Amino acid sequence: MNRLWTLAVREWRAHVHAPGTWVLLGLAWFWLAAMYCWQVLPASGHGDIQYMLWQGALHIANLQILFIPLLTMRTIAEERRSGTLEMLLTAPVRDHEIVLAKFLGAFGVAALMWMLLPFLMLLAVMSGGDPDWGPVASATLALAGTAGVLTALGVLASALTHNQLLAGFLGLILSFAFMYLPRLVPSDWQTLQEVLSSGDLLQQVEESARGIVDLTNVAFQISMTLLFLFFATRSLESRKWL
Amino acid sequence: MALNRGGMTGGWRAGAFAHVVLASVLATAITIGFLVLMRRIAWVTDLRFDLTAEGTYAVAPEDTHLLRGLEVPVHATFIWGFDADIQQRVLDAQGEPRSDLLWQHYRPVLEDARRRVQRVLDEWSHVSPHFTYAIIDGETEPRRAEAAAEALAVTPEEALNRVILVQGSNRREVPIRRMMRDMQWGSFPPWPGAQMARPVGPGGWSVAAELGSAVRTLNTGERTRIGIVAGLNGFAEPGSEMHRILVRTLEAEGCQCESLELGKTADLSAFTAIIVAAPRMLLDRKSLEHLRAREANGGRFLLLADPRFGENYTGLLEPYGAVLQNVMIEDRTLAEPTRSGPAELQSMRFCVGRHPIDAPLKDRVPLYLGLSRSVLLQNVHAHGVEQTALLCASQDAESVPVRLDATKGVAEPLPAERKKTPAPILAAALSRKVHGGAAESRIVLFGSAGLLAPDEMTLSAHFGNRDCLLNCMSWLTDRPFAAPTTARAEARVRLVSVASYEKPVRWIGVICLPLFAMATALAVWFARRSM
Repeated sequence: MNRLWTLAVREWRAHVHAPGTWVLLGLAWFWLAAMYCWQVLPASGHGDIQYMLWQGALHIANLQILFIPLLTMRTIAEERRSGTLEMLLTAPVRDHEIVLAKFLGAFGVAALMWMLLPFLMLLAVMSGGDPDWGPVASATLALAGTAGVLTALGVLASALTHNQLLAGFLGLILSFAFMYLPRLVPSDWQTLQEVLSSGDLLQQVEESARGIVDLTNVAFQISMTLLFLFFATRSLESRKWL
Repeated sequence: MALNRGGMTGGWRAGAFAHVVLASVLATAITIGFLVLMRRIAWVTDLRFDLTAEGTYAVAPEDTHLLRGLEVPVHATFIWGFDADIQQRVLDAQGEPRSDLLWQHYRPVLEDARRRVQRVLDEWSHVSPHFTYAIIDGETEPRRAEAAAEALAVTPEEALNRVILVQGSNRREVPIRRMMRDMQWGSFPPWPGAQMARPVGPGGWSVAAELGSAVRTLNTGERTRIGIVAGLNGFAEPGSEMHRILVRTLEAEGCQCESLELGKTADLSAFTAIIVAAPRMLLDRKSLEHLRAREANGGRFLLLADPRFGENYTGLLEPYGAVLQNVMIEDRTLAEPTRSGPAELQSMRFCVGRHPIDAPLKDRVPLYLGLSRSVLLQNVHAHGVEQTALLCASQDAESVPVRLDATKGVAEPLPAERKKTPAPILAAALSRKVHGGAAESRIVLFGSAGLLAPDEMTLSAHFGNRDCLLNCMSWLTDRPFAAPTTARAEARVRLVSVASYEKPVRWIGVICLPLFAMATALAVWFARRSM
């Protein structure tokens, strides 16, 4: 556990000490706050906080599709390209610990983005509003879950190739497909639509932003995260025999 | 043994590859299995938690119990759009509905209703695999709406703005208007200078309660048998529009309507209530005896009369001390300018409000009665008899006597003999204890058959006729009232001043935070360069 923690903190520091991470965060914060300020607030009727929370959560969830693959593209691919991966693999750590540490490091940075939502609600309190903290908590939990799935998917994409750009592109495609596929299926294909809609992450965020915590959704997010991390570990292992 | 890159044999590499593939497939299968298991568990135990302060999405325990106990699937269909009732409010000079007003003023109200209905149905669909629903926007998905209405064997117009719950061959309908409390629908008259009234959203909603009660009665298979007397050339003879609307309205509430001919139907006790809708023919002696026998055994009747035709309800009404007077009521104070004259009664001020039938409608919605007789309530001094006036005309009302031809049952008004009759009673609820108090007979008596007028029954936001009829039937059959008097608690809408909130969001969110991030990026870049 100690080893994992050390590796995770090292990964997180590596992200924080990269100027690119801050540029990405700055752009994401700016985009989200600008959308919130000029699109969500004017459309909130007489200032319905619930609507603001709901829309804010959806904007963050959508931006995560772009933000997280760009954040995770370098996690393993960079190590592979620079040749440090072999060194890491020969160190006394297990493959799954490496993958988990990479995941936790990136997830810690992604958290800086989705924590913007409770921060915006704090600003609402400062402005005399009285948000219902239950939906704020459930929306934050859902955004964390979505970020977990997308980060794991990004780490997997990064583990599949040594090219950062390719990893980023692959992560983007996979994230986009994972988030939007349930909504792109034609309504005629009812069975497929029903199956996919049970894993519709955007819908899960929408539900949570209303104040509902559904343990089946939480289980879906956690199991998908673990599955993608498992795939990433297998992919890392495959280097031993390729 | 041939070694290749990495010093591994081809066989070892193939084995390792197979191992990875197998492990991945197994992991995927385990994950899918786990998720399916979670979904199954969700059908039997609560895995959804409502974190809102008001418990907005919490499904009531009794609803959860009911939904989990569904053995036959229930499907709810909600088609929403601009129904005839709404379109009537925005007619232009040519009599066509104005789409700009519809979309600007009524669409938001309907969207709000849709959102609330969807919220409840969606939560319910998570509780039970036997509960499914479809919500269709009648304006943007007309073909889908038509197909859904056809499947429900109704016209798209009839299906609009009501949640239709179907379980096997049974169905219940809950109009959205019943879920709204104190909704002001407004109107936009076409003539110049007319005062427009924008719709004002309801003061409260009772979506879950109304739908819950509908599913409950649907699932218990509870069917209240209602007999509609036929063969007397009455207003609601089978085949007439009034009969069709009456049957449809009652069947949507879970009643089973049957036409009955008094001379031929032997057992009246099979019917929970009997409707006699203003017969144009007098009841013969045998039929009257039949009705009296049922009344004396706890029978429940809705009796409607008309001043143009004679009736002989006297035998039925005698024990209650009620008499239908042979007069036609005129009321110039409450007269509607759109109606033909003071005898065609329509007003929002008829309801007395002392009985659960009319109390929810008092000063809320107009009632159309058309031509009406008055009801005289005499003091009978009998134990267990209760008389409650439901509807009254104004203090300035006048009564015009009518002369009845007893043989033909036709009446002739005598305008020359009109006289002032302050606040005549137009409808009354009567009850009396029978069998030593073990049973109760009830009669709701209307001096008018206009209550069942098809147009007024259909336009349920313009007129309270439908709610009034349903409340009468609810009282007669001991069922929950369609338009309840009790207000329900409403979730609080949390607001923040947009103007004061925008400032910190703009300064901190749009400017400070991104600037901080960019400054950190620069600092990190310089620090890395100098290392």
